Amino acid sequence: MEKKLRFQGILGYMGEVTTARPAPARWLRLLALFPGLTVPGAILAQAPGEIQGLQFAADAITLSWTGDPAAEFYNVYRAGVGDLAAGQYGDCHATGLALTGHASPDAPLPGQAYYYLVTGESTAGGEGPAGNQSGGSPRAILGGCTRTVRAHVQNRLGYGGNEWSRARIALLGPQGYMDEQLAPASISEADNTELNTWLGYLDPPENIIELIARQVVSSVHARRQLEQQMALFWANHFSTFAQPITAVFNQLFPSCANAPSNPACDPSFPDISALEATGTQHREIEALRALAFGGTFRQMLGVSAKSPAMIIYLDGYLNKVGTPNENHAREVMELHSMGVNGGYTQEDVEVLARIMTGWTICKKPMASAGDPLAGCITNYWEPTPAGQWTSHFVITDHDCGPKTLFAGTPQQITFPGTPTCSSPADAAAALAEFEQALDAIAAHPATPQFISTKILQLLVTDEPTQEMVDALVAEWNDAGHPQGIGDMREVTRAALSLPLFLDLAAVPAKVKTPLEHFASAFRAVRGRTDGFTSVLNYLVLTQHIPFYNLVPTGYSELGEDWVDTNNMLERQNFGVYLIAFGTAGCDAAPNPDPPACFGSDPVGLLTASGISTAPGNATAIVEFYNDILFAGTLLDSEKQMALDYLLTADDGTPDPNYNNARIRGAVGLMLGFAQYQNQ
Amino acid sequence: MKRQKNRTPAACSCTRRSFLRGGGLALAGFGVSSLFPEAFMRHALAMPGGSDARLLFIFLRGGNDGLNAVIPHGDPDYNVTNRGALHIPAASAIDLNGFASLHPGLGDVMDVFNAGDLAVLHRIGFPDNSRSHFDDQRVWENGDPAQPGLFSGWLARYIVDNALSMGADLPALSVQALTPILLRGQEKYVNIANPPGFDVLPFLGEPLRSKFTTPWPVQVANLQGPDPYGPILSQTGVKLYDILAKYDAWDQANWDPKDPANPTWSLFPVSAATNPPDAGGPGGLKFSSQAYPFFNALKVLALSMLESDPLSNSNGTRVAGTELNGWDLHSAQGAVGGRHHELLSWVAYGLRSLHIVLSGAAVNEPRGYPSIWDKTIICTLSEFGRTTITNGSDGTDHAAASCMFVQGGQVNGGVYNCDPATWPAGVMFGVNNRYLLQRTDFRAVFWEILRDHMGAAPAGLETIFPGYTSLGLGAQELGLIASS
Repeated sequence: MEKKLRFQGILGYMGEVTTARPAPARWLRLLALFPGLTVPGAILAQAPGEIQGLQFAADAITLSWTGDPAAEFYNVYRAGVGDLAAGQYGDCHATGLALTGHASPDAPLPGQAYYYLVTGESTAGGEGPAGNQSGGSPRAILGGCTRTVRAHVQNRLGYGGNEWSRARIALLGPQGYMDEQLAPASISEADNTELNTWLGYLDPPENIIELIARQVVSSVHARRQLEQQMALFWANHFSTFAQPITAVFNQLFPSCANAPSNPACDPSFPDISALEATGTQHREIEALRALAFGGTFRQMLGVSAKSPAMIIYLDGYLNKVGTPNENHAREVMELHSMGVNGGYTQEDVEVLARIMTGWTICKKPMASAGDPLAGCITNYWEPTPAGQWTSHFVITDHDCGPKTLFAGTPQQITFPGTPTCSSPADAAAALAEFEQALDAIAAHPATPQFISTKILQLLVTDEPTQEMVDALVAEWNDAGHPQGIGDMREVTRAALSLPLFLDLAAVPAKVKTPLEHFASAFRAVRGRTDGFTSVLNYLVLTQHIPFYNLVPTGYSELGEDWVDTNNMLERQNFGVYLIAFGTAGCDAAPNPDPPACFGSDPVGLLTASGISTAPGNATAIVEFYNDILFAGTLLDSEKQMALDYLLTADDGTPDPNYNNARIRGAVGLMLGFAQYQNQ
Repeated sequence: MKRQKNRTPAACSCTRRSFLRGGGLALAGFGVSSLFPEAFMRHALAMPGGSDARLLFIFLRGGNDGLNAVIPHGDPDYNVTNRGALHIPAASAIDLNGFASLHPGLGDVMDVFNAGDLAVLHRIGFPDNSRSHFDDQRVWENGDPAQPGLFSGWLARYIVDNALSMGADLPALSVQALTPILLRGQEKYVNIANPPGFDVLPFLGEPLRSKFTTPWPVQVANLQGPDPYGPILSQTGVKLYDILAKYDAWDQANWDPKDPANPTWSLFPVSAATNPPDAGGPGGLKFSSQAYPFFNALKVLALSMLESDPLSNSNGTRVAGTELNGWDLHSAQGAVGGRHHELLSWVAYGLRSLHIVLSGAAVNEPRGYPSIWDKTIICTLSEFGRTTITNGSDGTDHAAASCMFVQGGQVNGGVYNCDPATWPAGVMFGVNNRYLLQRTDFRAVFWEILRDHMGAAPAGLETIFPGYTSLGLGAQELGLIASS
């Protein structure tokens, strides 16, 4: 059998597929053409020829082939028998292979068979041919490895491809693109006019809608795609909810209509409270953003635990000696660090709540805003001195008694407390106690496990294995990283470095969140957005409103949570709504408000890409968006639906003379294909 | 297992989706769930006489303070010392049996209670709960405290095990943010998050709209894609196009049944125009506008039940539910008046309204739906109760057992687990010296409902609630359902 495989020209179907368990060598059937082409010398600008000499090693799933001098790397495609019968040569199975061999990770099920196809590729010359079927027609590869990998990397490290990111990944290659994204400061946004214009209108964010809009604009237009993804990930992990925060500030700055004698009353209520409440959330998000690529998890935990937004949201400001409120303390361990099965007890919740007594918020001068013991500005409503709402520690509200956290475990830590509970020294001791407790929580073995699992669920797979988690935990615990133990950039890098991240069987095996879905649609069709016009409505309809989640878990990354009839409906509606609007309004001058901006230009993208939009080019137009939206993986029947749209008048009669509106409609139709929800 | 994943391409051609692909077009409009051969077989075995009993659930998310909703006034531990500002004196509450009384915000349930169709259950929970919202909600939904991480619901297992989907496009429906775990499992059911706008391309007119809505159902039904999400997206898409036409026909926006006792009052206040007047209420109306989505959800649930036609199976909704958030009141919970009161009043008005419309008793009701009250059970769930002692922020923290409401024409009404015989001294501090001790496991309540009302095949018990028998939960059953 193997001998035959080695020497036969076209192998095709080597025998009947049986339902009985066949001998191992017969599970595998190899498909390749050996046209006898030789390529003289290494000319990398030229596409490699067809790959020759494809064979199996004795284990029957390790492939090897003859190297082609023009190939920088090789791609392996794999298909099942059923796919082959349907004329498809399979998905990208492995790519970027520098050597002329590949160990396929798994054997087919008994009674099934795989076919393999290998191509060579060079950066400059592109991918070599896949050859022809025995009948003479070319073999059809769905998508192709290079397109598949590039789309995958752009989808997972951010919000899908736009013109900038596609060019960038073509230039740098997938690994180079990932490395660059992991160093966001190395990517200049200085000439990213679209990003800077819309963010400029939203700086500072004056209310929750503007805070959400900043995220939408950044997700759509930023080149630092991974930074946006991770900033939102951490903000969502340490989730705060705008509504109760605003409610507290509403008390501080009541309406002058209701409280005319209150010197803090706001004649334009609720503008001041919205501004100040949003400011607390915004500053927390920005601190987390910076730490995501230049800090440790321990630092993030501290930012969150002491952020005024969180102290309000989880009732920390109500947590006082003698009258504890355990809401915040529980979530610090359950949601923010160790996970619900992390090994803490109800007693630990109560102890941590006592450790966390005494925190509240107030306005402080800018220079001392970071000092929890600095004095507050009493007349906080006065324009001077300039100040900032921040967290504040009140020793007389603190429980200074002795405490033991994680009692009876290896992580046990005991605090003696202080006999008095009023002096600056007592306050310093109480703050040190809190820091030590956070140290112990961050260092608890459950914490890197829980956080690494969530990072893997964001970037790699909904169901990470323990082996994958362990790989991230190993990086977490490596004190040699630039930020030391818990260096979050390096843990993120570890997730992207896992073999499974580029295991192409797993490529579409996640589902976009609604924000990811809408942002990717904008990016794909030259969409433009002010961050809220229309898009905010669709975020509400699909139940994904960043920084406005009622419950402190944040939004899910798991596809099972997002695939439902409501989400599918509104995502389909959104795609058509997006292509229904042009972008002319986005360029209007502020008057005095910035222009409302929501729309797209899929026709302009075609023209700029050298695809004629004149009638007679329907196939190329559909193929272009098949590439942009689906990395070329649409089935013929799906492409036919888009073609039918283009070549049919709205009343249903055949009409080959399509116009721009119909091109837009065809793109909207494709945006509504269910697999556009795959990430 | 939660799901299969990374199935090899070679194996793809033998999934049940290939069966669907083969039959999908010819059977378009005949729901995906009716195509599963195992369901046909089970149906033939399990449901000889057929049944059209219905179950409607309302999940009160965040942890309802059972001690202030159904107040054990007969227990001296319910006092000002323990409850502080949250304490409600007996004179302000609604006495039920001389021991238990209802929060004054729950007055609207008294018609059904007095008719003997409302069971007020106390001390319901499960042992050793984690007091995490998300774990404990999942346990209430997945029905297995031994597996708090399981994302598959006991109601979904009941539906599959008893073949409720046999011949029905729409066996189950949720009207809430995202599909609840209660209804997650091997089949996908319909979820509607925005009742007023649940429509495809509402901004397009014909014939252009049909240029999208004709190919899309075909595209989703024939979707190719690897596990896990290819098949799930396909099933979901088929369900979506099954429901859209029906939902349109229900015309929920133009259905406004009214209260026979107050014929100008809408039973489902979904707008200022349908919100009953109340001089003392927010903006001179009975309910805050925040209540509109909840009432709109109940309205759609009621319609799905009333439109369900088991004879033609054109709809066949047997299980439906929604959720109401906001019960996690760590601060400013309120006693008489306040946030907890407000939420309870929404639930009570909703329970009363459901009773009226499902009994065929609504006025301003030209559609003339017949009564299905005897076929229907409506129940509330909440993941845990709250600390017996208030927390110093005039709120309460996470705790253990809480209360439930179960109503329906076949329910043995009354008070359960809140009388001198079932509420011994000290139970309010029966767990960790802080929390109310459970007396009845929630699984015992629901298995009774499934078996005695919904006609669940007894053989499916361990599939639906694993460990039920070995844990001896049958001994905790309360006898909630009248034998017919």
